[in-house]
Amino acid sequence: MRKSWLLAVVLSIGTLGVLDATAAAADTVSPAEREKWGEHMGDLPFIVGYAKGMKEVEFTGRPPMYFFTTTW
Amino acid sequence: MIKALSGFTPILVDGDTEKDITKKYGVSGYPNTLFGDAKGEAFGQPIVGAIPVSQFLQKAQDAAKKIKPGKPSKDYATLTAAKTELDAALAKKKVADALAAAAKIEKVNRPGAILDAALEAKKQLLEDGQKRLDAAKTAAAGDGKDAAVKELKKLAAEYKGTDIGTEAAKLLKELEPPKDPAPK
Repeated sequence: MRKSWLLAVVLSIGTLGVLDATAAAADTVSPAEREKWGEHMGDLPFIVGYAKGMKEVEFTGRPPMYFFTTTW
Repeated sequence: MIKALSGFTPILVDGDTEKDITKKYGVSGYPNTLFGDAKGEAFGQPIVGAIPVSQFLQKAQDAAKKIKPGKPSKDYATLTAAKTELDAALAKKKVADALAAAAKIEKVNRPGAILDAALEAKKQLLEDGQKRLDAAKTAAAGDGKDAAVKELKKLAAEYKGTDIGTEAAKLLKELEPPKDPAPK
């Protein structure tokens, strides 16, 4: 059940093919983060962690889109 | 629509470990998507749970229209401009320009997709250059001196400032020593 709604959220963003994978200037996701959050992120170039993400916002000037989630 | 979203930085916040952040933004349920401005302040209402794509797009479009991007850092401007130069140079097979663009990206030295792309491009260009240099040496040692000289001239120009360019220039001098000045 959880997996299905999570997938729906990711799909609602991910089906757009939205975010250019090369857009993020920073290192986006480490292998460990990919393993932990892969199901949540789909193929989107998320930055994991608020502080790291905000550094990227400051660097690029691109405003944030926060995706709050948990692993349970 | 796609452009509207590509202007954002997607950040995953772990609700288990970043409780202070979830509290700051008033997040009480997961998943929860929220747009913010360049200073990090929340914009509009959060998108809680799964919603239809069309609704998500509408909210994203509204946010993109109303949220002003921040000022990019000088390094980011350098990085993105150099990446554009690199892509253009690679497409036109302009080796010297591609190496120059890659060097600009390396100078910024920010780990990430752009630096990875630049390093990979540089690696490929240097491998290609080395193969061409080796082929020119072989040709020069055989009966292909004219072709070798032509190739070495190109390599010396395209790879100027690299070991390949230096070696090509050196070999060129050996194959075509400068003529003595005419006697007075």
